[in-house]
Amino acid sequence: MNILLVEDDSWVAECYLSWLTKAGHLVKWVRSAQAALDAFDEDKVELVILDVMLPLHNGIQVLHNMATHDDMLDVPVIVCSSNIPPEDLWWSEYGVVAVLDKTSLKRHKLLAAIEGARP
Amino acid sequence: MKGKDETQLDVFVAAAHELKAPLVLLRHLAQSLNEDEDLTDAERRQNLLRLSFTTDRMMRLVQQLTLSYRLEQDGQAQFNFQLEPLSITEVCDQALHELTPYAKEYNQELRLRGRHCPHLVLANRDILHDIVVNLVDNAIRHNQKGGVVDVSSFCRGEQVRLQVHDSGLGVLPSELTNLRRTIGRQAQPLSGRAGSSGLGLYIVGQLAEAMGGGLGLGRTQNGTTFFVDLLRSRQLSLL
Repeated sequence: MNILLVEDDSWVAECYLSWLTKAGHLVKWVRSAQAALDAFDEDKVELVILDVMLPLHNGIQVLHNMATHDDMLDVPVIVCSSNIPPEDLWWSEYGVVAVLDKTSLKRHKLLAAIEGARP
Repeated sequence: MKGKDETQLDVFVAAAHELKAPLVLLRHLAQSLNEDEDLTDAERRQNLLRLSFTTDRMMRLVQQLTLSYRLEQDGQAQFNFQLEPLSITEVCDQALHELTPYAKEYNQELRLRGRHCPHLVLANRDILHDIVVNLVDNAIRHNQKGGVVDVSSFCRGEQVRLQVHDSGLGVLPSELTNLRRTIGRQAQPLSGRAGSSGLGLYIVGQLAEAMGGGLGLGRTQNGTTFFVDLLRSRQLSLL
């Protein structure tokens, strides 16, 4: 799958990159909400893995922007954060198919969530 | 202005938040080392190095939290920091030398400008070292990929200003006025530094104040500059 990884911590991102590429996925990694928006225009994205705490504009802003971006409307999102906001009821409205807590995340959980997101 | 109890509660919450990110990282790195059978030798070495750096960072934070608590409880007057005339360049050089392998792992370059600065500051060597390490560590982790962290110092009347500049995302203009007023006086998150509670800056502010100085936020175009003003020593450097 072509995955867009939005994660500002470079060492955490490199862990995920290693897990995902070894599982055969093509991953583009960006560190900010703005870079994620740019990537929506430039790349074919089939799945987004999104951290919530991002510099300047947070992950929720990315979800709002995806909802207004024609090419991104049907792209599934896996939220992966150590600070899950309490407003979880509306996740599905933004195409969020899984919400993973980083503090207890395991590689197999992330890979299983990606498999579950396949159309 | 917040009361002592309120400030301590903020620091407590910020500390819990601040420790979460490195703990998550330690967990991921350990998990990769334990479970990833495809790890190459180079990846294994890299993960071990990062484990070590992250543990060091957590140790620093815990030690500084203890110091911060004592400063908050007892006040700086009780503390009796031993202040001595110090070459700011020498202290920065030492700190940057220690942080270079860490910066390299983040693909960051560290630069010390103004090596010729002959001015001495009146400071405590260990505390000044902690201040430089905190500010530079912060800049390394929040800088853009392949960025440069510039450390410089210059004289401003009876003070010497130590500056640390990174070319990261900076802060939102809407935050600037409030930040300039409160920086270093309370633990507060900065928009350009996701995942950070601002605790490190609060501690730097406390430490600088304990030596008669203070923390400030400087130029924010093309990144962020934090500065610490320190007392200038009348003694002339022999270097």
